Amino acid sequence: MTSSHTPVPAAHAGSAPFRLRRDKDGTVWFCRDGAETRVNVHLCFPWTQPERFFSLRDEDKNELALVESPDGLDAESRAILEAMTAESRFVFPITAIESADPDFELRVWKVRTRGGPRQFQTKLDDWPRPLPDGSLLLRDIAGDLYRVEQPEQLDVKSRRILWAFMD
Amino acid sequence: MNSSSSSPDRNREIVRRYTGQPATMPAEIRRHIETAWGGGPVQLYALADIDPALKLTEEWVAVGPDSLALYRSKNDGSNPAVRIFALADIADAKETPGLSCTRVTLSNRPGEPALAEFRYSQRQRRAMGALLFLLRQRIEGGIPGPHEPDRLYAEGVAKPIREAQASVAANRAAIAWRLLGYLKPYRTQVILGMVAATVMTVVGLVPPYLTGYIIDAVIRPFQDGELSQESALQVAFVTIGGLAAVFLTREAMTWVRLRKMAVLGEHVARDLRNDLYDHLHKLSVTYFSSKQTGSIISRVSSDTDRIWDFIAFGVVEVSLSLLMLIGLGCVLIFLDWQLGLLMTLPVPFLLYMIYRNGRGMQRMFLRAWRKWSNLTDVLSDTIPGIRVVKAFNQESYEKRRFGERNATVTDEFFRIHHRWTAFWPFLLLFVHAMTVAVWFFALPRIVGSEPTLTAGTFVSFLLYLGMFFQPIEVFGQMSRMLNRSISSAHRIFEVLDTEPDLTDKADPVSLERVRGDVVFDNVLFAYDPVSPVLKGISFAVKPGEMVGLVGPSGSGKTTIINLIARFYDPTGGRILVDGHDLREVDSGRYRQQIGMVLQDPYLFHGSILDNIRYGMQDASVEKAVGAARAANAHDFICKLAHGYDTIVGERGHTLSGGERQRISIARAILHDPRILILDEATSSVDTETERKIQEALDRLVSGRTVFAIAHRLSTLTRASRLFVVKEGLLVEQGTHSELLEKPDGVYRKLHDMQRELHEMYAV
Repeated sequence: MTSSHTPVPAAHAGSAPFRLRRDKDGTVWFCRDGAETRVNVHLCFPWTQPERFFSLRDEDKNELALVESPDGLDAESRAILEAMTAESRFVFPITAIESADPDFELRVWKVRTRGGPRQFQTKLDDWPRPLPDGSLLLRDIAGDLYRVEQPEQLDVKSRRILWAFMD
Repeated sequence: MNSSSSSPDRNREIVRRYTGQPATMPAEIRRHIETAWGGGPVQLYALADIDPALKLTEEWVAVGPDSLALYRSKNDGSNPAVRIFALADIADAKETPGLSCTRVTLSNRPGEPALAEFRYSQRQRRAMGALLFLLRQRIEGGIPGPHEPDRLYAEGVAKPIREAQASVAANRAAIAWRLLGYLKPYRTQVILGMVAATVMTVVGLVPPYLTGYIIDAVIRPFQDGELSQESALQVAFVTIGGLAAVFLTREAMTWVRLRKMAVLGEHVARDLRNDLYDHLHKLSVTYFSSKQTGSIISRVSSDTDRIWDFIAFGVVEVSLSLLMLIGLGCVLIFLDWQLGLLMTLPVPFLLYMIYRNGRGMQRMFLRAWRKWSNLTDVLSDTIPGIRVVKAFNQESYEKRRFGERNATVTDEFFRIHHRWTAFWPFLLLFVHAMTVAVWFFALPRIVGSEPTLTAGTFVSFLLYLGMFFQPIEVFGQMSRMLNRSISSAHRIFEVLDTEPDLTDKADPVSLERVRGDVVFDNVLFAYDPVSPVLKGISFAVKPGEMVGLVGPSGSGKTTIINLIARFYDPTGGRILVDGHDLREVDSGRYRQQIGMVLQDPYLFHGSILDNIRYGMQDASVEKAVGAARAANAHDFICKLAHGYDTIVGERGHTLSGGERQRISIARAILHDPRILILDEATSSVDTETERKIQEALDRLVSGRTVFAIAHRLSTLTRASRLFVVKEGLLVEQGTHSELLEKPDGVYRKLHDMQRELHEMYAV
């Protein structure tokens, strides 16, 4: 809700200094030139540059600022930004694969994640995506993402199942 | 409404089987929540499945008449916690979306600490979206709650799975059994085919036995002088005659079997194709928009073709191989139990080795398939985009990319070839080892001082041994074919099991001649619960009126015309045509009186005359020419070398967009619809063509109720009224000049924007 705040016009987006402020209700505000706007963060390169290039956008998704590196922000803003990105970049980290069997049109994966066991489905011809750091990214048919961070560190059975999906 | 809404049990089964989460809110939790908030029913619920530490959890979010509840099943086994919030206290429900985790913050007043937070994964997005939509409506004092929380929850969670695989997969045996049900109408042929196949197999066991018999009963006694030449020849000729009869019978049975089963396979494939195509026409446009065209076509074509394999060969070969294996085992043990056991006992091990090899090969094929798809990705990128490749001088890069992937694929196929070329000789070596073992144990018994095995029996054994490997090999090869056939059958049954979205009621009203009186009464529509498209639209259109629908992209204009054509039913409110609710009318008769001219007109493969007469095949040539004249199409048609007989559509003569549009207008004119829908009919043609089309449309619209969508507002100046739609609401209506008089009006803004663009472009 921006009713009690003077919103930052999206047209002001650019490199002018700003800071982030968090309310008691958890809302994060983008503050610049005495104006404030509720802000969300979008990761521009979630896989290739996960620590850089954050697009700060208002509720209508207009860009307020592009943060190339959080190092340039004040300490409080940096901490807020890091907290915001922790959840927004969350994907299920896979720690073991129990099975990945075809079920007609689907491939049913039974895995263990750091958050607990999970079963999900991918289409038969949807393949895990290799990321630049050597990890693998899977996207299920509902849109959830799963990451195998170090495939070579998995147990033998998991590696054996994953073999067909890796280069 | 969509297909799932009529199959709640299937949705629940999908949720249970594929997600591992509860298919409904457990009754105990529901009771607990309803007690906690004072007795009202749970109206809608969803699962928040991620906790603040980003671990998986099970927290139910429920909305009731006056309250929202959060119920967490604690992992530590202590009492579960339920928290109740009065809806009156919730001012805002803010979502912060992430890649796989969306946080919802419920707050009372901005700046005050949040009332509560919960998180959910993408899997819960639809169910949670419906709940949050309801919650926000309640906050704004809107609609009452729905009364089917179980259905909406299961529908939301199951939807992505159902879109990928419409039916819950039964096990393979059940699918094969259902497929065999298609043989029922052809019982006689099935029995003949199976009897022939059985006779063929059984008589196939006779020649080795006769060979042994000839040696023991004729050759050896004759050589030992125990049998005269005359008697030996007599027995030999009878045996040879028997052998000839066996071969004759066998090949005759082979002929009967092949012929009966091959024809039977075609019958079943034809029946399935017909059933499938008939059923496809019962399904609504929603189904076709959620499936790729190629996938639907392949179900009717290649999948039914694979069923032929299954019926013609799969069923028979597998059952015969089994019969052969059992028969061989019995004959061998009957001839000599010791050698018989020597040969039959290793068979399960052989079958296990084939199975293991098949599993390993599956993994290799999967890996090769993935690499193959990487290779074809390059092709599907570069062939359509070849102009870009050339413009950026990237031929070398693309050739290198293709070469690298081609090499990788080849490596995978090398790996596969290394495996199977090693496996089969190894397996044969094992079989040969069995042969050697038979020799090893048999010869001492033949040449011993007191022989316990005759030479004839030994030869029979060797011949049977040669036959032993064949059914084992069939099992190895057939398993892949059977798997593919069963998968095809599943894909076919999946379509057949999809229930039509729209069905006419048992005794529908037949609108013999539609007048064209159209009323929208507080119409709500949503393709899914997350994003309502129409949020309560009401209007009344008189017969003969022309209404222009304008508004930004995604505002709901196309949904309105889809509802008028009854491609969908509204999710709320009602649509009346000539005073009848569209849900009550005979949709076939009604649609006969609807005409549509779309932005991208579709011409079927056939002549231009066929295309103009589509839906009116009995119309006279004179009427078709008249319609073409009225559509300003006659002139260009006559200039074509084959005139009205020119073949158009797929692989036919290429017509320009304007020409195709005029043919579609001629089709609509011949159809003489009472309600006409024009969807961007002139949007993608040049000015001169637009003038011709506009002239044709002017003739077409007269005397009918017309709904026209156009982004170019100037094309709607003839409309008697304009409806301005924005974000699912009818925000303005009036004539062109009336709407221009509203300085802050949406239409005025759109009009000014287009004028400015036009002026800039003109400059």
